[in-house]
Amino acid sequence: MKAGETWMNPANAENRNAGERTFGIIEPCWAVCDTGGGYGLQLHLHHQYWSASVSWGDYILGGTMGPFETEYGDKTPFAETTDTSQHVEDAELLSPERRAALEKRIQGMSDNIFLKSDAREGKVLGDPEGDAKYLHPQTRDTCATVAQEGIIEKRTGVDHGEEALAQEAYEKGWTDEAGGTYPKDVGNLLEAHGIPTQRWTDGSASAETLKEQLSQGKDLIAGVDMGALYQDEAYAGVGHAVWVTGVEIAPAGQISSVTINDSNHPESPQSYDYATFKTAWDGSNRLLVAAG
Amino acid sequence: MPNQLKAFCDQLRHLPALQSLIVLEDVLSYPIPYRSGECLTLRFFFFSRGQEKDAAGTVALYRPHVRVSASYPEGKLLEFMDLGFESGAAIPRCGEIVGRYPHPAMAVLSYAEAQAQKTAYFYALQQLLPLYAESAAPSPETLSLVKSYVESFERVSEPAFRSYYETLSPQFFAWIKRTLAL
Repeated sequence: MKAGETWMNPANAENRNAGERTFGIIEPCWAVCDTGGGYGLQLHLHHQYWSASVSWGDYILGGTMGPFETEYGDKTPFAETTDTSQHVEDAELLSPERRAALEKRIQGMSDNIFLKSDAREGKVLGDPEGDAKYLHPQTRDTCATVAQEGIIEKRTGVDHGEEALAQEAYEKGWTDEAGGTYPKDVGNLLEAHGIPTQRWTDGSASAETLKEQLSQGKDLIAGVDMGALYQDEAYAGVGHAVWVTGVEIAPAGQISSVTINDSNHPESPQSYDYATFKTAWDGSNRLLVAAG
Repeated sequence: MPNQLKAFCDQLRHLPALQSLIVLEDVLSYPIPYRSGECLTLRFFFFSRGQEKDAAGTVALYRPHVRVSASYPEGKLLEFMDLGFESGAAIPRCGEIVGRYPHPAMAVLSYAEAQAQKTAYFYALQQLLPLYAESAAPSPETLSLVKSYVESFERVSEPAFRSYYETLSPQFFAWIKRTLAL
């Protein structure tokens, strides 16, 4: 491997944790470098609003941190560093064991960095990638049921399955025979499985509500107009329930995008610009259930 | 001009009473005016669509199963009727398929264009409501508004649902026909 060549990148599963934290905002690019006091790894951060690079080695000699240095200069290991890094010609100088040790160490550091950056504007609230593993498909009109299934699984460790929960909801009168949930009953399964909820059914939920609830670690289910969300007339006016797993906050403080677990798209979380999500959410009178 | 009729329909859809009676997936139809004595009401039905698209990109339209009526412009819920109860035979929400959606007139439109056509329908109906409410004598102005309404209705409404719409308010469609015949 040559100097500057990326050997961990966002698309690489090995870099999954950093990818989760950055949620598409920051694009980390790892490269082997010479820190001046020993070989290490260099992390380039390319954010939509800024970029920075940091190097780690045995002595943590290199690095410039841009906004982190300004805001968190006395709280990070990089406070007094200067950028003395130089790429090496051949990264093979690093043994696999040494690479592994550095990678592990950097992973821990990057966790701290990203946690700190989460406290800034330009952050992501929620844990879209982490919650993605609780994304379940719907086999009929059970969107609200499987959204609750995922949250119950996340919070209790038990996946009851779509059919068992759909049967429970139907027997208790919360859904009809086709599995559709009455809006006032979205959240009842959560309560029945020991997860407290707070609900907004009168149109009073807002972008601030989303931010506040996600900041408090709540899991959110929102009602949406499926046609408005997908921009597809075939589904216009059809209500749908989705699990809001994260919002991205722009520098001015407003929500710029929303990521959801959508049982119609069980392959991966889906992200929408906030204007599109808001229009779709308005279609349900901004129905919202906060769990936890 | 703000589209009061569209706002009215949105508010009706989210009435607390209906939150307990209508599931998320149900779709509210277009409003059809209905006069009861001096009271002008708007009538709707609820229906569901399938989720699976066919090769043409359309989804199933299920037979309407509920009728609701609300006073206009107050928005008071006056009637909730299970159409299965009324007919004496249960109508499952996702039971009988009566057509596909989008129908040809809407399928050629983008989502935004389709929404614009729906907005045009609401405007056309909103202009017609005062004339229908007072049983206005046919005039060139009335005829023009009725023609505009009919054109919009035939564009946006599902052909498979036309008979259901007419059943909501036979008197209104009779008034339309009388006006057009002049």
